[in-house]
Amino acid sequence: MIETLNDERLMEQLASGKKMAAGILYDRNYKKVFGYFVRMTKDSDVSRDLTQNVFLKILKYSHSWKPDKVFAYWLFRIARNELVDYYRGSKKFFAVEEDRELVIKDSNDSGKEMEIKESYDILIEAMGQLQPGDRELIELNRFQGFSYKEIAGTISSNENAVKVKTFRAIQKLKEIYSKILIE
Amino acid sequence: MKCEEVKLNIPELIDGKLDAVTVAKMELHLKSCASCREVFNDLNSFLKFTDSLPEIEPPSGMKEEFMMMFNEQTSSQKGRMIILPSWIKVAAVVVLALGTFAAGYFSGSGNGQNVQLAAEVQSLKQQVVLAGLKDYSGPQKIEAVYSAAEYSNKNADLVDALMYTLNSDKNINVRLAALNVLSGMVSDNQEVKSGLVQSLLVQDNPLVQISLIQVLTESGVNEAKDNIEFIKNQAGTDPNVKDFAQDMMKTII
Repeated sequence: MIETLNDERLMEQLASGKKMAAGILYDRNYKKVFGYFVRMTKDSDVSRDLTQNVFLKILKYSHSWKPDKVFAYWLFRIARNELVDYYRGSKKFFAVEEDRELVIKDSNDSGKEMEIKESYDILIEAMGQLQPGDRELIELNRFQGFSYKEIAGTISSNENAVKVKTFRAIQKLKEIYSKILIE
Repeated sequence: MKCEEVKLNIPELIDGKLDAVTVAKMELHLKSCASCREVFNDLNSFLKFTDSLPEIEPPSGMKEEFMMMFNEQTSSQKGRMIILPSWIKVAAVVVLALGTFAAGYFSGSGNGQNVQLAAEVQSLKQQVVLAGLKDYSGPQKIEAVYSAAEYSNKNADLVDALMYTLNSDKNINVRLAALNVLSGMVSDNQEVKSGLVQSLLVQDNPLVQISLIQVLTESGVNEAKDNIEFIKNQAGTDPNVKDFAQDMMKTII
């Protein structure tokens, strides 16, 4: 059954022309990709478009898939390139004011929902004040769950450097977050 | 264990990713070092808070939108239906009318005149298409690129226009469309072959670079070897492109 296959096997299926694999790959991964773009751009509409582009590119380049690749890294590299292209095209990293409306999942209590949304907004605001490199490390390590070794492979660095930089990025994020909170 | 090492390990300690021996050493250190304990407590509460935030819910209808785009792409790969820009359609009507009129006017006259007229009609068609390559932008230009492949003789002007589009258009999708058309000519057109090899040196977008490398290596263009090597070794090249170039280089002897 195709549903039980991991993402790498699904990519092999897709590369061999079994198009149904695309829908399953999309279902499994699009929220993760969308969340990444929202945290990096703070713009829900842009994130929607960038997410769709990422998956269209996966389809387009599925024929170049190699069985020794790890899908999560490959997906992230495509997403990262998409973001770079977006930044190049839009000539901006973050607008000062964004009319964004983030929807947070799993919140049935409206008071709690507001509280979580506020926390998320502050966290995203704090991430926006980090240097792009630090923001990326936080994204990869904390939100995408990549290990230091996996990050090193993704951004062409070494494991120890990633460990040191990620630790510093987390500390910076915490400081900025606390500062925004008390302002 | 020194403080610096302990501090760097704190996120992994919180995430439960350390082995038992390191955990024991860390705990021992944290009991006796107030400074590291403070860092641990701070990060522990902060990271547990960030980890507890639920994921951002994407807008509804994204999956349906994607599947629609996916189906369009799949069906266009099976048999591409070209949607021409409206003025090309008008021009095509003019060309057709001209052709019909000429066919009637010259019927019975010599073959030479028919040949000359056919050449003129062909030339007019091509001018329309080439103008589209220069004047349009975005999706319309992509259509113009594909129209160029469909309706024109693959002569030097067309190759130049496509090559110019590949090397200078601002829109990545337009550049990729031009490459797609040119890739169909690479095997029997030396000008296309050398143009694509040169294009490797001017492209800066990773997707275009990867596509270009793929076209050249799969077409067995050995002359591309040096330029692919150049991209692979260039400091600013995207890691994906480097990996891809490395893999594809093996296919060129």
